[in-house]
Amino acid sequence: MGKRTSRLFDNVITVVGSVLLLLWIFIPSYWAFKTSISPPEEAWSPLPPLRPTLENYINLFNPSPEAIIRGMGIRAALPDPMIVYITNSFIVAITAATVGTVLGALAGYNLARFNYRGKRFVTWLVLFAYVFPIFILMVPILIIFRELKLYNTLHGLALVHLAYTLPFSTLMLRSYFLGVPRDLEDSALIDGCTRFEALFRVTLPVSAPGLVTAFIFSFTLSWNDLLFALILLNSSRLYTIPVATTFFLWGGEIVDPGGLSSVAIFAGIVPAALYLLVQKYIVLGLIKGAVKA
Amino acid sequence: MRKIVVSLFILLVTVAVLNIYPVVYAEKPKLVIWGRATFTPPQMYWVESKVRRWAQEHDVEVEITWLAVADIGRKLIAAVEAGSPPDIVINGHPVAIFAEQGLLLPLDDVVKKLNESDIYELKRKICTFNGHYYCIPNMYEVTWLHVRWDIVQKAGIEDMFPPKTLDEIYEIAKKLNQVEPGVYGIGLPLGLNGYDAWWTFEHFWAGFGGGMLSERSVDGVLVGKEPYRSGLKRALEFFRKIWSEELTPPDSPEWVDASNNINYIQGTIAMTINPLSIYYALMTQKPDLAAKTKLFVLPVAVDCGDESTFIFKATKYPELAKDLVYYLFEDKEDYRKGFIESSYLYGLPIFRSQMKVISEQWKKGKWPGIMEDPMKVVEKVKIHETAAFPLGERTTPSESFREGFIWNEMIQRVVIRGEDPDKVIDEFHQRFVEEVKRVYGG
Amino acid sequence: MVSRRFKNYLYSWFYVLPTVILIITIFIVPIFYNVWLSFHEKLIGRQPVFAWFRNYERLICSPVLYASLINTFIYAFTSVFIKAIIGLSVALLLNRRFRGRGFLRGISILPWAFPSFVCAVLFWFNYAGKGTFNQILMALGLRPIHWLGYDTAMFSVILLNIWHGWPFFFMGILAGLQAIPIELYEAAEVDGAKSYHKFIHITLPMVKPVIFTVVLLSLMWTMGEFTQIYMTTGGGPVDRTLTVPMAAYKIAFMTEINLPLAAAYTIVVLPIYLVLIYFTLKQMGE
Repeated sequence: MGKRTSRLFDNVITVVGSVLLLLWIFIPSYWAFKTSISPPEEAWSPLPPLRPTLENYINLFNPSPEAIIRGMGIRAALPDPMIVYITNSFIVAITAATVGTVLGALAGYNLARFNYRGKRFVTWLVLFAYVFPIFILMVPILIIFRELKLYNTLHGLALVHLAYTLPFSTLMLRSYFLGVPRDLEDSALIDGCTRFEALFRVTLPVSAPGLVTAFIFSFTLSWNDLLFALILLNSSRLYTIPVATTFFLWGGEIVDPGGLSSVAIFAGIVPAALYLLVQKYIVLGLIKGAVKA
Repeated sequence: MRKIVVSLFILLVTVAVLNIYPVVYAEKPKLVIWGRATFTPPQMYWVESKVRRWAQEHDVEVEITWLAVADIGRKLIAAVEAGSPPDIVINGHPVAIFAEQGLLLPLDDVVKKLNESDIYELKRKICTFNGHYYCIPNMYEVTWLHVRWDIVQKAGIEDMFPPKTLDEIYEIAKKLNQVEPGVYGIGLPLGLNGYDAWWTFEHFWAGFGGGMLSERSVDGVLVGKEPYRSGLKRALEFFRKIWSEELTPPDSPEWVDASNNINYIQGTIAMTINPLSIYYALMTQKPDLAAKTKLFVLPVAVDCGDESTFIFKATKYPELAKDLVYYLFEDKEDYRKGFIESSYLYGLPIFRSQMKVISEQWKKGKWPGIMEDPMKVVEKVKIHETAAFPLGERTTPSESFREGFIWNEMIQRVVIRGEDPDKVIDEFHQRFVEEVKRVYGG
Repeated sequence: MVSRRFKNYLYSWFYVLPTVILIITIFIVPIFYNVWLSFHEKLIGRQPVFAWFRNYERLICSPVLYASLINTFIYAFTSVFIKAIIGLSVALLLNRRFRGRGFLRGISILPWAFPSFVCAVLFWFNYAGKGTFNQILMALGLRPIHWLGYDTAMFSVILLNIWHGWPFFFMGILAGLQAIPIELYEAAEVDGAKSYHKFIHITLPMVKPVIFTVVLLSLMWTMGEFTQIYMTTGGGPVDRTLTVPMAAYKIAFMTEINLPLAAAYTIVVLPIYLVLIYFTLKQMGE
């Protein structure tokens, strides 16, 4: 092929590919987005609403009487306004992310800087926990948490979520710290700091982006969990958002499509927005953080 | 180092305090009450208002939670296992699973106060275990054949009603199918996650001579034993015919308990078997459709009224709880008016005295659409949804198989997947035997 | 008087102790408890009773075990394969230079950034009787399909998994592509290589390790996927989409509420996951 036609061919591929990509992403998301800004009468119309409204989103936080009545069909299962579930999700996710990041920072720093017998064991243990399929633990975790009186509590759920957040932040921060040049710490040590002070005053501030990324990832891992929220939470007022959304499918019919789509989009935008903030570090976090055992 | 430990400690303490604070500050006696949300809201309002009135009079704090029908069983079991069951369950199930493990408070004195002989025997039997009463049955929830009379007239088969045998139901469904384009002959629930498929099937399983359990032992398992086996096979055949001939909507296998209601109201089915929750919904939401609906008694009627009121032994206030339970039923007229009549006879009274009143009302034409005297229907009912038949009592195996939707699985495998009924029957007979063994030994 | 070396040793452990303890409590202890529980039987409100291999016998004789394993393999392998292809294609596409590529890269992360349960909800609307896909079919004059029905359920859940998960492949492969030094390509061009050759001999070998890692991780996670199945089909119709995690949940909390049986079930399937873990860790260690 001549240079020109090959260039044209290239451009065509790029354009066609981009269009297909956009269609592939947008078509399946269209309906939920459309419904979330539609008034109830237009909920099932295939076209974008003639009278778009943000009422569905507002009702999440401050339900109007009509919204409450409209949700009556599922009231038996979801007696509280959505804001309760949203709050619960935040509480659990922030707790799990905080504890996970703090402990993960300590452990990650340790694995990045120290050398001692048993370090390999710890590293492999953390890696094992990272890839392990958590559903295998559903029964014992339930029974153990019942014994510990952590059943049906938000902090109990946050503790289980550490199973997701802790291995991940450890590995991610370890990889991050490995990338921080030792000289900074060394000069601090020479100046008379202990290891720990060096960590606190020198390394951590420099690693702020890594810490933020680890926190955000941990937050979203907890935010997304459905399995343990289902298992450990028995009172409806403690439900988190994923559990609440399971109740909207009733008899094969979607009850209150406006409410459902708005809570789903909201629940989706929170992690999406957080990820966009730390776009650069996503790959680092997921894959490279784990590579280089 | 110290800073981190201190801050973590503060974080944990804060979280712990936030959780403990509300508990520490309760002072009045408190009763935690769970209930299954009914399909007819006035019943819930009646229960709530009665409970709150009682609570005010006795200066007791009450917390009422209404749970969805497919949830309450699972949640109760989870709560019991976690060591924190509610105090009272008003309008809930299962019962035998708890009663047979000694977890419920005997209610013999309450039943006596309510005049034992005034309560129908079938209802008393399902609350008995080892000679004691462990629950008060809330109501009869009898199944009726809901039929679109306008479609029947269009098909010209008015004289086929009421059907005298179960097989006639198939004939009727066939004749009604697609008479109105897009409207199926019958709405047959076949879903995995709901009780509808199970008790609809039970009409035919029991009606064709099948059997589940005759006594609480492995020898009493009748599922796959002749002559009961052929009854089960016939029932599966019946369902399979209806499904394969497309007499029921194609999404029937995904239906949950509200689905046949929804489908009838939306006009996609001409006929369905259901308690009167559908009729109630029609009367309140679509009166024109209600006018076109007639309700007939089936050749075999099933009582789905498994919702009962029971008290957990673990309660801190057994006498108060019993008092509340008695209070609910004490004023039988109020019970009839607020719980039964308000639901448009979705529920029928457990008391003979009140049933007589209803019967008189019907004779005077108060309940149009209902084609037979409710009192006669109640007296005809022999099968109860959660009781093992022909034993007639609730048992842990019959309840757990119902709660776990295990019969639904059996139905789906033969009807939808087309598996060999003999193999499937053997498999589920074995499974039931295992469950009976697990509970009763042997 | 403790030696300084020993003190140093303890000090090193100090940082990781909470993490190690937590991991052992949350992962290792429950696994052993699982094994212990699987040899018992339990009734509501009672203590577990020792029952030898009864649970294991039941499982081996029951079709649920095999059906769920087959379903899981079909589900995971199909889904991962297609996700890899889509991820690779999009990575190649968005590695080219053109205007708007940054925007597209950002958008491509969205399906993965949305939590699993949100994607499930998005697809509820797609699979609904009058939802997106059926509207498209009807607009084209075709009959609407019952997406979660007996014949199409597996396809539908696989599609959902692919839509949610392909960006993971995309991101990993893109990073791998970007790590390939340009000089290699330039040298190849000088030698007269065509794009096709460049792809086979430079690109592919250099991204192979990344692809392997990503494939193994994704296999692991897809074989453990619970949320999507629970929220769409719940394992049905019948047992069409009953995957291992869904089956474990069903046995534990839905069908017979039989915790020891579920424990036995998870132990029976555990070896398969352990093998996968072994290969994944090996790959990641390189």
